[in-house]
Order: sequence, then structure tokens, then C-alpha cells
Amino acid sequence: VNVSLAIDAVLALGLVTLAVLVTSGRALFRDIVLFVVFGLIVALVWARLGSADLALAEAAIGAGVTGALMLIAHRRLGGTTTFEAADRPAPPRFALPVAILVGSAVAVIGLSALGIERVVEGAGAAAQARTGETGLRNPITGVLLAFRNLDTLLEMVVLLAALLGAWAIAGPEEPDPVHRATRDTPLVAALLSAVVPLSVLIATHLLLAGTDQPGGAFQAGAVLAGCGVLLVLTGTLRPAAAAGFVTRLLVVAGAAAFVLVGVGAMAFGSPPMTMPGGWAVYLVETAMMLSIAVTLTLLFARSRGLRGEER
Amino acid sequence: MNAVAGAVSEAVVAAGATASALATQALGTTASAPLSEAVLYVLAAAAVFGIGVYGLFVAEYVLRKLLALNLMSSAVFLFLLTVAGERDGARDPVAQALVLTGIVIAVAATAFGLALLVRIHRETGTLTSRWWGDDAD
Repeated sequence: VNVSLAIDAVLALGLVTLAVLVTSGRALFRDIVLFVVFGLIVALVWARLGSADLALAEAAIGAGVTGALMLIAHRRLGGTTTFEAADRPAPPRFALPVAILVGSAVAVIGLSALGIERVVEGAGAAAQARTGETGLRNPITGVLLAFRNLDTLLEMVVLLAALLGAWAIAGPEEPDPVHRATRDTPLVAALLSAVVPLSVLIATHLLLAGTDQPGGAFQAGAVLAGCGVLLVLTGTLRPAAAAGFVTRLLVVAGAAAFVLVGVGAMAFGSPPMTMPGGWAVYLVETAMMLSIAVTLTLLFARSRGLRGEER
Repeated sequence: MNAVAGAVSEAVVAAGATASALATQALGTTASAPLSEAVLYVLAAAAVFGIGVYGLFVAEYVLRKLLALNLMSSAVFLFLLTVAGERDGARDPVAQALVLTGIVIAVAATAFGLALLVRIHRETGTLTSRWWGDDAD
């Protein structure tokens, strides 16, 4: 028996089973937790497929932050979990056939694509072959910050737009406090004093290592965002009704640093969006990490700003 | 109206059967080659995507629809990376970068959707999909 393939089979089966459980529609809280488990299995699949960068990002963002956002929204919505069976409308008749049709179509396309002999090498091969020219040894960071950095810049703009949209929707009322536990509890204080410095350390490592090894601004930002979520949940950071200057600066830092470096390069005769050197990559990545962390924390806190604990 | 819906659903069932037959055929042709991890993960991605579509349709609570959408996006990422293939033992870096970007965009879109849900809940007091449905007006 091929053990490697057996592991893949178990993971693939686990994905499908968890997806069925998540959509089976019993208690919503349970389904959200199962969704987080699904995300962790996806992270394992990325690791099996040899993509440590994606595994890190999936574990931190796909499972961690998304799960936290879902759970806090579930609580804000009053924790409604189930509806009376009589109250529940019959599911649309076309749901199952359409789902089978779509799933089969995806399978057909995917299996056919796997069978196609590659005649022309795609962008991936080109990026892999020429990563050395960017001075970065992690080809993914090379793609994100050199070859396709306009995409990455626009991604930062999408994140900013999501936050601005959430602010516009939230309305003018005072943000609701989300914390349940406070630092008065000895366990919470001990947890914070261990986890906060550790996550800052891990985030810094991921950021610095990202140029040569798996890691980068997204993973580092997600780890910091997880730390921010913890600080909001324990009341160390509290939602504030207005965004201070520092918050605004941090939220736009990623996009701003990207544009400044990219446009500034033109002044020295380089084409737009050229990274003039390793320092520029670190500058842009640090700014992106801070923006991602602050934006996701603010989206979790559902507030415009954050302030410290009252003394 | 009902007759139209019936005809549509019958057509969809027929199309679904055709597609399933095609999928079996495609599976048959690949089955002659050894079953690889790529085939496994493509099938898993297709199944999860289909389950996500089903969940999207049958969920009456809007938060559940968002969960189903997130399942679908995970399936798309898995599909994309598996089909992109590997070269010299390394995954396609462009596909990896795209999926990495996609993961962050997905969480941003989910956060925005959840903010929208909380506001709608404050305004209307309900969040079943029926609030925009037939009896909403």
C-alpha cells in the first residue's frame, strides 16, 4: 500500500466529510467550529502539496481569523442557531441537481486539465526560472512583490475597501464591547504575557524569513491579527468610536508604502512599480503586515478605532 | 410558472446526469494512469465545491450562506493549485501567490459580509433569506 497516497486519500475524504457536516445545518455554533477544522485540514493539504507558505496563511487566516469573525458575528446576531422545523421552508427542488451538475462539471474540467500535456511553459515556470533576478530566494515573495506586485497592491486596496465599507455600514452608534474576560483573571494575564510577545516574535520571523523561506507579509500580518483578536477579546484593546491618527496611518500604510516606492522608482528612471532594492521589499512588507493586522483586528472589533484599557 | 420551474428542474436533472456520466468517463480515462494525489484532490475540490453550492441554496440563515461560500472558495483554491501542477518538485509559484492573495481577499469579503449581516439584523431583526424573498415587500 502506498502510504503517501493513503494519507492524501484520508485528507481528501476528511475535507468532503467536513464539508457535508458544515452544510448539514444542525447547530450553527457547531458548524462554525467544524468549518475551522475544515480550514486546518486544508492547511494540512497545502503542506502535503509542498506549499508551506499557503499552509501558514491558511492556518492563520483561512481557519483562524475567518473562524473568529464568524463566531463573533454569531454572538452579535444573538446566537440564533436553529429554526423550528415547521418554520423552515422546503429546500429549493433544484438545489441538489444543480449542486451535482456543478460538482461534476468541476471534476470533468479538473481531470481533463490534469491530463493535458504541457506544450508551452506558463508564467509559473518563467517566475521560477527568473526569481534570482529579484534578489529574493522565495519565488512566491518574488511573484507577490516583483513580478505581479500590482495585484498585491490592489489586494491591499481591497482590504482597505472592505474596512471602509464595514465602517460605513456599522453606523454612528458606539461600538459594542466584545470582551468577556479581563486581565484581572490570573489565567488571562498569564496567557497574554506568553502569547503576545511570542506572536510578535513569530510575526517578525515570518516577515524577515519571507524573502528566502516560506513566510511573508500575509502570514506575519495574520499572526499579528490573531494576537489583536486576543487583545480585543480580553479587553486589553477596546473598540473606540473614532479612528485616531495612528490607526488611520496603519490602515493605509500597506497601500501607501507600495505606491510611494512604486511611483518613487519612476523618479530615478525605473519603470513604475519597480522595487529598487531589498530595503524597499522589507519596507513594503512591514507596512503591509501592519495594515493587514490592524485591518483584520478592526473588522473583528467592528469599530473604527482601538484604545487601551481604562485605568 | 410552476410548469416552467418543473421543466427547468427536469432539464437541470438531465444535465446533471450527463455531467455525471462525463465525469465517470473522465475518471475512467485517468484511472488507466495510476491514481495520483492530484486526481484525489481535484475530486475532493469538485465535491466540496458542489457541497458548497448545495449549502448556498438550502441555507435559510444568511450566516450559513457565508459559510457555504467560504467552503466554495477553499475548493477553488485547492483546484487551482492542484491543476497548476508542479515542476522540479516545486509548486507553480504564480498559482501559490494567486491563492495566497485569494485567501486574504476571501477573509476581507467575509468580514464585509458579516458586517452587512449585523447591520441588517439590527434594522430588521431577522436574518433568514426570506427577508428579501417573497413576503419582504
